[in-house]
Amino acid sequence: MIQRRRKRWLVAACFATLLSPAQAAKVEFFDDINEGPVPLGMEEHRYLAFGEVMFDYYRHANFNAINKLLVNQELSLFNEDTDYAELLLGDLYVTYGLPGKAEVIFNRLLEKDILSRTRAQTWLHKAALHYREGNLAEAAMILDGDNVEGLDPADDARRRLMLANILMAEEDFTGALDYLHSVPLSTDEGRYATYNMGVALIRGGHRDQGLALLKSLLEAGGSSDQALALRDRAALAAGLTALREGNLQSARADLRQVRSDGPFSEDALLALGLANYRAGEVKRALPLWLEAVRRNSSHPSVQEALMLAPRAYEELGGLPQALAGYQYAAAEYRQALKDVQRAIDNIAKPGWSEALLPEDRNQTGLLPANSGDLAQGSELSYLYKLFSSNDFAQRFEHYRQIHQIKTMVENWQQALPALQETHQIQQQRLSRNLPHVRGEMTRHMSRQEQLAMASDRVSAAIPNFVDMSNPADVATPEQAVMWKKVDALARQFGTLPGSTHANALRLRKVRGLLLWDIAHQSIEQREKQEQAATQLREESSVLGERIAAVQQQIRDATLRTRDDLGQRLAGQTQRIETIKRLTEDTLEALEKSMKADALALLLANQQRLADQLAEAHLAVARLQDSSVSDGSTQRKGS
Amino acid sequence: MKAILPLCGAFLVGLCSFASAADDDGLSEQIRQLKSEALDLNRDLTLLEQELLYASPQTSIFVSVDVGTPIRLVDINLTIDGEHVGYHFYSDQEFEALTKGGIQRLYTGNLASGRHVMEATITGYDPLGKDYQKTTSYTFTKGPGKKMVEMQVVDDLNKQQHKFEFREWNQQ
Repeated sequence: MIQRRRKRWLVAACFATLLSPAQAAKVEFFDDINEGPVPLGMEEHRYLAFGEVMFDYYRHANFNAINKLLVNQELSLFNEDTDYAELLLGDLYVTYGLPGKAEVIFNRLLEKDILSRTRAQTWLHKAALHYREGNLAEAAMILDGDNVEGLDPADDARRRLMLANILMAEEDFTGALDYLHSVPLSTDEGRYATYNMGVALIRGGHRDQGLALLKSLLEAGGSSDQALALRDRAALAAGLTALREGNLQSARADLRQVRSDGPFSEDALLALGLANYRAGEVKRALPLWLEAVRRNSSHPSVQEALMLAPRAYEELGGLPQALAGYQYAAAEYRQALKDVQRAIDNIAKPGWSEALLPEDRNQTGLLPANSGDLAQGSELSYLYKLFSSNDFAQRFEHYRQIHQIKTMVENWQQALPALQETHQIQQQRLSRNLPHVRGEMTRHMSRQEQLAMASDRVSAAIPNFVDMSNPADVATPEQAVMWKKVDALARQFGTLPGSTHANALRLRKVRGLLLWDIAHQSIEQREKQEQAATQLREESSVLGERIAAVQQQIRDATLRTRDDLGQRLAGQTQRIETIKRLTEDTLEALEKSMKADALALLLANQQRLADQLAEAHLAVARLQDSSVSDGSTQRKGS
Repeated sequence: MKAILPLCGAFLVGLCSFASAADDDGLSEQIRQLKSEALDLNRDLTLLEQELLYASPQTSIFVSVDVGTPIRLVDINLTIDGEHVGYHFYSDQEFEALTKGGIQRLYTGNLASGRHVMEATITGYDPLGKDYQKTTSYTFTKGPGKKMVEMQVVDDLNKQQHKFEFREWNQQ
């Protein structure tokens, strides 16, 4: 059990983020387990402070984690020598979008004489920073060099994944594959890298290798929503590749593996229908497109299926159904156009960007907050497309963070007057009470000293043996009273009336019995006395501590009455105001750019829908014309 | 002249995209500057607040759990001298943070000097998913310096439940 506890302490003291992509040095603070109150040393204090930072870090409260690290730096708890805290701060700066500050830390660490593992981790962090910033060549140079030797397995997997992605971007597929093979498919990172690699290989003309990778995902484990969606996506990509090549059998087999209720089901239905259609099996294509038509009409694949289903009817000779289908498609396109227009109008309204924020503003999720409300206006599907753009997602992430800053600044703005008032009240109260407390304390200190000396004297006076020469010392209170009476009677016996020989004998007997009684419980009584003396000493010691605590409080309070905290608090007002203004300006600029992106996307959708609507109207007109001409031919014929 | 027009067009497009990139860079720099200033402001105000509220050495109670424990901590209730001073319900993410070595500050305050009794009640699930509740009490003495108490909720593998262990520090 002790081993387990010790392990807990050691591991707790380590910043061992083995399962997390962001990692830093492992630190051992101390390995002794002490019991009882002990002085708070620097390492123990760091252990608690860093533990708090880790709590925030692992619950993804990165802003709080950075703040705690910075506060503790100011308190001189963490400094440039606490490598683990430095490395974590650098990592958090990267995540928070402050790469410049992160790089300063990493460079400072690398200039120092640090543990080889910490050095390798620092290089890895630096490479990740370059990678994130798009400096792929610099990142690759670090990741492929000797500096990162000695990383633990989780870090090394991360290194290989980054290298594979870099080589993939450079279209060095052979090199990328070498690194990718060692990344397990059981992790989300491994699965995504495999998918990306598969798609990149197909695009690069390495069809077989690409398809093999995509198909390996179909057999990979993982039951999370993310894993299942990626599996669907891999099946869809493989199916579309086969369809493009005219390999219809294979396309159908792959597309059938996409779940019918998954996020890619509409695309799969459309593609599977096309595969059947191209194979000449129009009857088998039709139900798939009809199923697609029943789905949300704002989906591009559904919008395409709206035209394909009536075309299939047309080919099968079902002209009335085809006409109805085209008319239905036209109605759906008109509705979709209305939805797009509504979405465009919504974007122009104030508060559009704010409505995209998650309900829990601290959440890092990128999906719109009020998705229920937005979905009612069919705006959601357009927004999903918007969020799938990396640029928009990144801009939105900044928007979310700046919004958090705005909330924080507003909270401080509200709190500041309360803090200032608290300070004033404190000062007034302390100025009023301090003279009296100081005076009283002098008196209490002398009382406490007397008490301490008295308790020491009592303890010292208790012999470590039972002495019956003074029975009252070891008697219970009742026995002591009785002994006092009997002893007084014995001493004054001759002077009292009734001092007969018989009474003398009786008194002697009583005295003897009482002495025996006292002696009989004397050991127990002595133990009680010793316990009471110990307790008295302890109470006296606690009183001593309380006196010291109050003295400390008097010193602190005296300093408080003279300090400039009030001025320093007042000095923050202007600073808060400036940052708040900057926050609002930045939010406005971000909102403007997000709105421009959204508008561009919606206008493109609007154009496509307008084209489809025109096509549907033409088809309706064509069918109506042909039925009229057929009718007139028939009439002529008859 | 006709040949020059596409070139002019390309030049204008290039100019526009350059201006747009410059705007983006300006905004990115503005965002970075704002984030940096917000961090500094938050740090300074946190320090000022601590200085104001905890002019005298404070008492802090921390909670930690066994790394990788199979037992799930659901919530914790803390009283000091019979007064309720803290309650926390652990989300999955928070409990995971604890099992990875995070330490949570459950209480910080200005306690009077002298002896105090803290009582903690936890609710948890054992590895089989059965819920249980446990209470413990601990006595400590607050002196002149800071007092820090860490309550470790550790596995009692025999009972498949939690038990408590305490560590206590005095800052001189």
